Amino acid sequence: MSALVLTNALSMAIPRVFGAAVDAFTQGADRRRVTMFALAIVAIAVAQAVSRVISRIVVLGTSRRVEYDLKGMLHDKLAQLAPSFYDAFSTGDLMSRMTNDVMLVRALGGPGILYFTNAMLVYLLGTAFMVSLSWQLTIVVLAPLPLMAWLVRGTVHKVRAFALSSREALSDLNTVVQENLAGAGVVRSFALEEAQMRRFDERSTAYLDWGLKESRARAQMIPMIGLAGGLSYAAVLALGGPMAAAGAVSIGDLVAFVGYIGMMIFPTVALGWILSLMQRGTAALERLDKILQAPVTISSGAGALALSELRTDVTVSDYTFRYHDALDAYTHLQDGDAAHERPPALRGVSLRVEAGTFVALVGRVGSGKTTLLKSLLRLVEVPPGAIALDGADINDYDVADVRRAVAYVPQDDFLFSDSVAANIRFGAPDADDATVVAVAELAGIDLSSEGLANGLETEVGERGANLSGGQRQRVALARALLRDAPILVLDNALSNVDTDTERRILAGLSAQRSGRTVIAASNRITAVQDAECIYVFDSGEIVDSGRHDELAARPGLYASMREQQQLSARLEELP
Amino acid sequence: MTPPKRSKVASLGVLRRLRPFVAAHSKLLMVAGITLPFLAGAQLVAPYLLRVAIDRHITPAANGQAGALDGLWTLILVLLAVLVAEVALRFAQLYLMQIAGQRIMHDLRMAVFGHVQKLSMSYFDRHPVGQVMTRVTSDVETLNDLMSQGLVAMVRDVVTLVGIVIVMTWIDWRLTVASFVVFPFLAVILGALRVRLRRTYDRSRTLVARLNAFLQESITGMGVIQAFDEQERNVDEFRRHRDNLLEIDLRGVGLSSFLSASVQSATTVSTALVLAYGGFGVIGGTVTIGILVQFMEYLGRFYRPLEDLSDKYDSLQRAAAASNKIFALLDEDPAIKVADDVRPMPDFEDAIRFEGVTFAYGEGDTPVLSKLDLTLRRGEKVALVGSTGAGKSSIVKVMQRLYEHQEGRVTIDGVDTRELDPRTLRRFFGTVPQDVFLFTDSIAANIALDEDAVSMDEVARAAELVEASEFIGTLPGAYEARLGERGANLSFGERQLLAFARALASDPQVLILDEATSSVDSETESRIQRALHNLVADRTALIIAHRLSTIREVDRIVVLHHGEIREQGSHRELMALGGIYATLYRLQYDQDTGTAA
Repeated sequence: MSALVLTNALSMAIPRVFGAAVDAFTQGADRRRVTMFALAIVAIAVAQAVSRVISRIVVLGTSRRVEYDLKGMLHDKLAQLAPSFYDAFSTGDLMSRMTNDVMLVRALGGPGILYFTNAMLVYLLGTAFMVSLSWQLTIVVLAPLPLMAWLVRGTVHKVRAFALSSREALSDLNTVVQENLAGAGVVRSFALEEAQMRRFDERSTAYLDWGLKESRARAQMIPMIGLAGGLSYAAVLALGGPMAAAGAVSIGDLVAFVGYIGMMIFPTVALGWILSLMQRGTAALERLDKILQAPVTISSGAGALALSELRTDVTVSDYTFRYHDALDAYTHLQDGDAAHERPPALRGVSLRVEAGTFVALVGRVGSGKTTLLKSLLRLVEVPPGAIALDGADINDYDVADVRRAVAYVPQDDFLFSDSVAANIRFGAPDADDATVVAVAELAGIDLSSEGLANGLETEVGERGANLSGGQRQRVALARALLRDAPILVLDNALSNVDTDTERRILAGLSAQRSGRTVIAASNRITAVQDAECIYVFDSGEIVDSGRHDELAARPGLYASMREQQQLSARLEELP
Repeated sequence: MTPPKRSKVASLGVLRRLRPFVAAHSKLLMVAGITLPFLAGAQLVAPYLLRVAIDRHITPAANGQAGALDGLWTLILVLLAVLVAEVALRFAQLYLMQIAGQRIMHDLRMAVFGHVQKLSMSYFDRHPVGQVMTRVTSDVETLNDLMSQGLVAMVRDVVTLVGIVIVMTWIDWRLTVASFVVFPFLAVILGALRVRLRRTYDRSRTLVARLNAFLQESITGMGVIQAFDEQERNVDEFRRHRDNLLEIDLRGVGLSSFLSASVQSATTVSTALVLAYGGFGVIGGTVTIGILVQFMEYLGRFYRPLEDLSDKYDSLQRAAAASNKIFALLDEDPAIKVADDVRPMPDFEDAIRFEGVTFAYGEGDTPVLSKLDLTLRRGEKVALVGSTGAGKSSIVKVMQRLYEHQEGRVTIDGVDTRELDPRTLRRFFGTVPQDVFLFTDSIAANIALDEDAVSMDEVARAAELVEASEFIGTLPGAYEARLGERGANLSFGERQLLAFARALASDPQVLILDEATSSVDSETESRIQRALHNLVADRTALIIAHRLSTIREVDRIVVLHHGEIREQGSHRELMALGGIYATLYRLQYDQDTGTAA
């Protein structure tokens, strides 16, 4: 900060030296004095360069560090927030906050502070220097400033209002694009291209109109600031001219004043820009604060039970779960509408899984299976008393312990853009190669015939795009198997694997199970028919349960699902 | 078209391709351009007036010459007039440039969006929605900054710089030389710094892209990360990304600070030189105090624009990177070409025929349809049966020319579909996909889709026929009720009924039904079946079936396997044939007697 003061003080001394030199010339100075004045200014230049480098490095460097810390804080928080938070905040929204908003805060903290302090120092030091020369002239030079501030203030409000409308228009435009792309199939098969173009044209024009209104207001603001500088010039000449003629001030003083006005114009112009920087920066900070203030809904309480020797009896008793309870906590942060009231995802579900057994959940899409499985890992906010592990409430354990005890193959086979091996090692980074190969085989990844160019070192691409759906699922299965946890949870884990491979994998798994509990949800009957108990889910409730033979024999959901699936299963079996 | 360069740093040459977009608004730009010399002139006039005031009026008056001050007032009035003119011109220039810039962006957006409409489905198989979305929105927006601010400022700066040098030389060339003695040194420093700055900026941009990609992946994969309790590792890795970026960014800050200080010092040293050389001139009587002041004023105006050179370079680079991506998209060849002289759509009195059609999704992929022959006669209802990947949906897509087949012909009444306008061809069909895509719009708009082509009456009639009107009536606002994102506030069954109504509203010649595999409750199920029955009555229909029980009544059943037709005929014929279908049917119904009826 002192470097900043020094830089400005040095700069502000220049007109003063220049003015003094001019006075010396008019009084007939010799070449030696002229050279002295010039050398004085060169000395200032050197000092100025050093202090300017220091001040900029410090202030701008700090803003980069602030950005660094802010991103770190936000990411730490994101790592703690429960999945329901991510239901309320889309990835696009979070990315925009983490990038654009953080950038705006950085601009506020770096250039914003730098130029603001600069402007203030220029005013302060400039005024001090000017007053030392002539207070009357100082007053007329500074007089246009309040006028300008008043003019700018009105426009700033207008600019802000238009900017807001323009942003809304942009968001409407984005919605059209987003839906046009997501619904590309509908657009083409119904030949809606022209209708879509019209719609897009409409929104794009609306965005253009608001943008132009904003630009007009902005375009009014900048010349006004220039006007104030010009008025100061005129005022100095009008008042200073006669004063100099009368000998009240010297010509050199007048020259110094002209120099000061020149120095004040730029910071004043910048001030307008700084104002908008501040507005946008504080708005961005508010948006970031929403993330930092978001309540962490899933965490280990103080004195959490350690889960070490888990026999893993799982008891679910009268479990009812509503997504929007958890969502509400976050949607209000978004200023969005409260989550649409929907029927509970689970309604009074009770079941018991004894250690070492294979239990299956069957039902249609959206019947509550996934919610129940996620609950076992506390990936949703489980109400107290709903789920007990070995007799104690799941919420009483350390979250990390629970998640270590349950190896999970999620429905969405998300892979990281890394190698196959790195993805398998995701939950156990230290596993040796032999173990990785062993679980890969157990998960049905046939390294010789999979078309994986570099075997386990093959890069899977963004979200695993280089792999087929079935390959992704098998990698996700291997990833879970490597965790070697007492409970294995499979959520529709092999839905994209053909029935033959599925059967082979399941057979391998049951041979290697050795006392492990398996809880599997599936839309496919073939995947679960060997389970010791099958629970049939419908609209969040368990409507039936039993072994495959029992369920297949009585009319109901299970039997009708089986009918649908047999056709495709048999067709697949065709030579 | 030249292929895009594969270098990480976008070449600025790509900006040239914006020329046709800019040319469309050249008049506006020219008008804005006319203001530039005047604005530069206004910048030059104020210091000149100052000099005249000092030399002709103030100094003589101080020396006791009578009447010298009188002219000062005229001078001040001229100064004020110049000021007002400058304010007006500057406003005009800023506003005109914005109008031009934003109109150019609007045109560019329309061009990109319009081109995306021409791209075939195979493009979307290869490019995620988010990526294409960025092209249309944020990449165009990035160019806007350059268009409406950067470019004008640059032109204005150059005009002003040139103006200053000319005026200075005209007044006193020796003093001008003194003013710019340091300029070559500064130029060397700036040149050296610019190269380094460019390198740091480019590196920083790469690191930012990497950090953002990592962040995006962490956010989308947070569920998995938490399930495996790997948050800590994720946080560590993010820190590594941040560390790398911070290091390079701090280097950039150092370089740009050095650049800024160099420019400032150059200004100050030049001021000293002007003072020294000018001072000698004053003593020798060749230079006046006024000229000295005028030069001092010009110096500030000359060097200031050089200071944010690095920012300007950065914004130019950003714009070039964005244009590169935009033009890569615009260069993307629409896979589905429209014939030069399209033939009128046949009346469909006979049949649609596949004649030896071979089709693969990508080059070098194994074909999903191989030498397929298939006929769909007018008024016929045909069901396609087969496992996943047997080619059922491919037949439908090729028939509508959503994808281009590689071999054979698809004809309607003998006319090759490639000789027809694809959009007319597609309007010929009404499709009910497995998963309904709904727009955030009203129910009516979602049924009509193209509200210019389908009237409200037709919408209501279609909804009536498939019994969707019943649930629509219960919604607040009925047909005007707005749907949430992707129809979030409707049940699966309701969405299905809307899809039926939609397919019917355009009154297509052929209906294509992809039977939904997701199950619904039995009440909805029977409602859907009823609607389905009404839908296909009196129409030609192609049904992709997933259950045998729903297709017994169709005219013809086609059994597909590995892209080939294995059997076809009516239910009775196929049962008599005793082939695959018969086996399947018996297996299903003998085994499940009593449960599957």
